[in-house]
Amino acid sequence: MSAVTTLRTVLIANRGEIARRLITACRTLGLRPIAVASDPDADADWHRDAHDVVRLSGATAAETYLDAGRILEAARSAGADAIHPGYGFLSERADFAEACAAAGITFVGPSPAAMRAMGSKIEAVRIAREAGVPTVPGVSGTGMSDADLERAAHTIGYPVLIKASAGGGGRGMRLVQEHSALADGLAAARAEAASAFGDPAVLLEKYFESARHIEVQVLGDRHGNVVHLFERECSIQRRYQKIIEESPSPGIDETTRAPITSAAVALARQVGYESAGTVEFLVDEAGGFYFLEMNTRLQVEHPVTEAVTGLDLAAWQLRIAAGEALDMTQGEITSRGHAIECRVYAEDPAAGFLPSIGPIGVYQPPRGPGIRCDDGVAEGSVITPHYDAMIAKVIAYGEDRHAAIDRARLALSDMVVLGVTTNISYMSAILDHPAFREGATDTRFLERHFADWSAEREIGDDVWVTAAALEVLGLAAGQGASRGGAGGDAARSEDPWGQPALAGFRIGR
Amino acid sequence: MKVTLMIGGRTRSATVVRRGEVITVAFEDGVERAARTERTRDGGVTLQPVDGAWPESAGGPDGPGGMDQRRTFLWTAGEERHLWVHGTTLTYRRIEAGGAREVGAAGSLSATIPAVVLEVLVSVGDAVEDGQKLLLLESMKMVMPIVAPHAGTVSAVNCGPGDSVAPGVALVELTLDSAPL
Repeated sequence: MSAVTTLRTVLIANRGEIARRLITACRTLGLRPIAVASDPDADADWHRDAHDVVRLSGATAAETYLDAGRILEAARSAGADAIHPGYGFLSERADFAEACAAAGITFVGPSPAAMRAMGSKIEAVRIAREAGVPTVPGVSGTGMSDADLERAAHTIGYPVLIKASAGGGGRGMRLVQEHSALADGLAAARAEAASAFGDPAVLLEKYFESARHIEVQVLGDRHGNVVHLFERECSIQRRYQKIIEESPSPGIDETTRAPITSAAVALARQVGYESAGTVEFLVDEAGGFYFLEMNTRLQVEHPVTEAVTGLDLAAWQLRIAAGEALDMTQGEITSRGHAIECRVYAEDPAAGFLPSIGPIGVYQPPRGPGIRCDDGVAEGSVITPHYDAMIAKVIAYGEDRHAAIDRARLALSDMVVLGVTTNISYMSAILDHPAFREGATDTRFLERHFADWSAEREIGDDVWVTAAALEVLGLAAGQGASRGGAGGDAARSEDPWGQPALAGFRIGR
Repeated sequence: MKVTLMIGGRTRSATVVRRGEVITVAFEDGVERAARTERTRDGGVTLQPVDGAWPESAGGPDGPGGMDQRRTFLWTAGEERHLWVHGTTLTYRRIEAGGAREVGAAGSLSATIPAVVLEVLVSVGDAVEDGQKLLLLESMKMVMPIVAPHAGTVSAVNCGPGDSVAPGVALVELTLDSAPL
């Protein structure tokens, strides 16, 4: 890889696994990565490989990683000449990218103009139509009365989906099955949009009963080159959040791949896109595809594309930000084998995905041929209520889809996370499901097959014997009973994890 | 040593004897097994049945990752146990001898996950109705109430607004009106 010469020091304005990933990308290129860390992250493991850490006092995202002014100040104090925002937090804030430019700091990502154009769903759909990209039948609600919207919904055909124009992440979204429920749906969606995004504007879209979520990775440089890195399928979603992603998609073949990837490149060209971006589509049963939105940042699931193309997306973002031109043509980019990513969350899938917080007592990431584990935790890490509950991503690569699933399945089974509840068994069950194995995936897969999932299983005598035997080993190691029990004093402490009653211990250490 | 465990809603007691590497577990219901144990360098323990395979030894489903595994890991926090066995995680409790110090005893109410107390809605001596909200807790940006499981009188409030509380710790104690506990 050629050396990046116009950048030297890069502030990583993020946390957890993606911060660690970006620190590695900087080090790969010989750049100096600077991390930022909030109070709860002061002792975290993910920033250990950074050249330096700037502390951001405070705990909430709003007063730390989301505070544009403080991030810029941190960059200045560390002498950074670039800021990589990762995903989430400030990554899609055009005003932040502008503030970076004004401060003479390179924002690693697309231009503020491209971010603005794609940041509004209504504007993005308009531009997509201009670029000849098929869009989901629908109307932007701007300037339309409820009566206008009723007529529009009739033309589109029920069911329809109401979405917040400024939205994302499922908030401000309402599914309306029939005409009689439209008025209530509009009122509810507007109220939610106003409270979540400060903007009550909503749009109406056709809702597909069965559709795959397929997205195309694009990469553009400052010299007008735009390429695609094939597609990812992200249909396995719970509450509109992806948990398992793969590339290539089992629902796409050579004849459907060409038009969908061309459409993504056309859209990126239309807005003069540079850096890594993702164009999201719905693909219906007939193979028709419809533009949903463009994410103007690195995606959580970028490693599956890295696995099948062999390209380092995070490093390319930095090289592009430094002014380098892409050194490969579209024809030189190939996809080989199959990759699948499983997002490990500290949450309980059997209890409405309730987040689980507390200390991680035992942590053993999986390893083996074709296995990559991007994580932000280590043994002793504490999962706090302040940030996203994703703790790791397990990415498995194999020569074909079945090989990749087999490796992912073994990796999940080998992964040990004790202390917090995780979705590892839930994901194992998804990988084991015959419909998943057949590639019969759509965005309602979990709703259809896993609505009543429970982690409960038959407990054999071998498990009882194991549990009883381990109690004796624990006591033999001089630990156990004396550390047990939690009392009222612990409850009144500021930091419950500081109390021996909850600190826990492990056998064998 | 006598061990009482509650796994999956079932409680069993066993006498556990250790002779070097071999641990023998004899349950009160007659099941008896011996296993050779060894600590692993990564902090786990392997268990190998002494007399060949345990007939009922059942791991997860067949196929990749579903096989029996000898390696296990245990994490304990108070009476709570998190066991990694056969590639999945199991949570259960150890019941201390005599049951004297059981957290979350009858009549006391506690959080199920770590939380911060937002508001205490009752005081000691208050008569409360079945289903009445007693406390508001906040965790991961969600507010959840602790409600009375039955009508009664508040006999103790062990927390105040702003307190960080751990799961299983008694926050409020209630007595039944008719038959005090």
